[in-house]
Amino acid sequence: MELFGLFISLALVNNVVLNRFLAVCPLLGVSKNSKNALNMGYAVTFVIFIASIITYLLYHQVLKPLKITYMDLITFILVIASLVQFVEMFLKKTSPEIYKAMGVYLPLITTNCAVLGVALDNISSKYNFVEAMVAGLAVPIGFTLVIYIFATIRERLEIADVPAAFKGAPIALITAGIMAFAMAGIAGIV
Amino acid sequence: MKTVKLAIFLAIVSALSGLCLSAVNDVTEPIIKEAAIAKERANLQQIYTGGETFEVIEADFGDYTTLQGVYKVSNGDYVYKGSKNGYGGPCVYLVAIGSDGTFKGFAALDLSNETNGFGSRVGTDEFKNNVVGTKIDESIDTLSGATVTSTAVVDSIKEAVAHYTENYK
Amino acid sequence: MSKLDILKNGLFKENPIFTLLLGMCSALAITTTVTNAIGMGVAVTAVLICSNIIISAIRKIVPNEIRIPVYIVVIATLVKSVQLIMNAYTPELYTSLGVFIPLIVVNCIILGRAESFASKHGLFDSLLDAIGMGLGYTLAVVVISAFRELVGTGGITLNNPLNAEQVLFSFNLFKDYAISSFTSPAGAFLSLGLILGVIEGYRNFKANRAKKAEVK
Repeated sequence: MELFGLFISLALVNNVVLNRFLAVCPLLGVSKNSKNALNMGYAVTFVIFIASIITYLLYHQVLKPLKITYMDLITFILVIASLVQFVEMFLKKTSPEIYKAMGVYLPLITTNCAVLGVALDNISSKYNFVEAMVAGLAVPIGFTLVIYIFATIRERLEIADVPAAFKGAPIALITAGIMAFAMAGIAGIV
Repeated sequence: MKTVKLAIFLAIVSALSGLCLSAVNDVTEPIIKEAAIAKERANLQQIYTGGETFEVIEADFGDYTTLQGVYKVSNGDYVYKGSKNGYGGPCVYLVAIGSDGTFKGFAALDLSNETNGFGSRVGTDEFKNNVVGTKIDESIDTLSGATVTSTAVVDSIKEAVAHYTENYK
Repeated sequence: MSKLDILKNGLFKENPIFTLLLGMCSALAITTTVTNAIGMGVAVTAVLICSNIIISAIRKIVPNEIRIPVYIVVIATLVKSVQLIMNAYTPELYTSLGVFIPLIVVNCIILGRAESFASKHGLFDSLLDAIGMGLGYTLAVVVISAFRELVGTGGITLNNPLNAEQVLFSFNLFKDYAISSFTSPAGAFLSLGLILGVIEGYRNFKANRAKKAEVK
């Protein structure tokens, strides 16, 4: 039951985007089209889940015993970069349309704060292996949820009557703010 | 062949950065450790007055909810910091466990919430002498007529003993 | 581009946060107080300067295919060093900035400038670019945090990063009317959205004026 609570807390209450401000760049970048947003969500979920496992094992089985924990940042980011490269090659071979639709945002998953953020948090929150895996699933699912809803809202905003100065990023951010207020209301449940 | 050359280049760069980081780490690590222990040093010196040095240990206390921290002393002892609710509020204390299996020291840190005469007896020398010297697997002689506070502290000390036995013995 | 232009570029025309919209994660997260903003700004500028210099220096010997991983390793080393140094010498700032210090590694500004400028220009130009971008970032986060702290708590307090107890300067305007939600995450999005809207409005205004002047 505790794991379930952890899942809800990481996916909704402490939502990675609206509450912790990670993965904001893709939020603003990929959310213009809801189909792209969903594909991005899938890709990010895969990367974060696998990355959580690998970085966790790397930290506890290699870095800590060898007492070189200060190498965590370099090793984690190299693991993430390789994973993203792998996903890119895989998508290019199996579904070139998705690969093309996602464009430059696919390699940018490497610099997605959420991926590195989850890896680092698993260590600093002293999770055990199972909790790290739950985090690796819950966080990107929360991200996918938010980015998808956001994209559907933005599709409507495109045709809405927005003052010229606020078109684009400003109104998107204000929308995100309102969504964040809504999410804050869920905090009472957990 | 090209891939091998590229991989070697990357490996060399990573090795160089490893060296740099190791140097920075050597400089900053002692300062960080020092800051961690500085907060508790005054309290630890209530038990160890002979100039021993201390070190904060990272520990996972799991189900031992009353344990807040554990420190290693240069002479091999382990000091546990615990906090349990007594009659009026949390009682914070330090208990030292030696490698010979006995309690080496006890210090009550914060008894400001306890009832005078009953709870605050945990801070007396009588209580301390009941703790120090007792073997850790034997029960502690509590004050005649155990009070809520002394029972609380003794229970918490039991958790410290359990954690010690599991991890450091 | 003259040397001075390179420097000024990062401050206004291509301000990393207000124009290029890079590094948003940190802009939203650490702008709760001006002290945090200045601390982060200094950290980012330091990393940016060192990374631009190093990458510009090695730009001719790094094989093109692995330049991104190499840049990432360089930046990660710098950021980790900054993290260790901050943990040792400015512990309170280190705790308030938290995970966002290591996240400087994936701050698009640093990798972005390395890729688009430092890898193609000489040492001195790269240094100027780094200073300009770093100052631009710091300016932006200080503006955002000043807004948030002022509206959210009614005043601004500046602490000495090396000695957290010492208050360098503080003023308090209207504590009773503070809208505390501006220090919350939702408020961060709103503040940034509003500020960007205002800046965009100002730019449109200037562009319209320039157009009208042309027509005349």
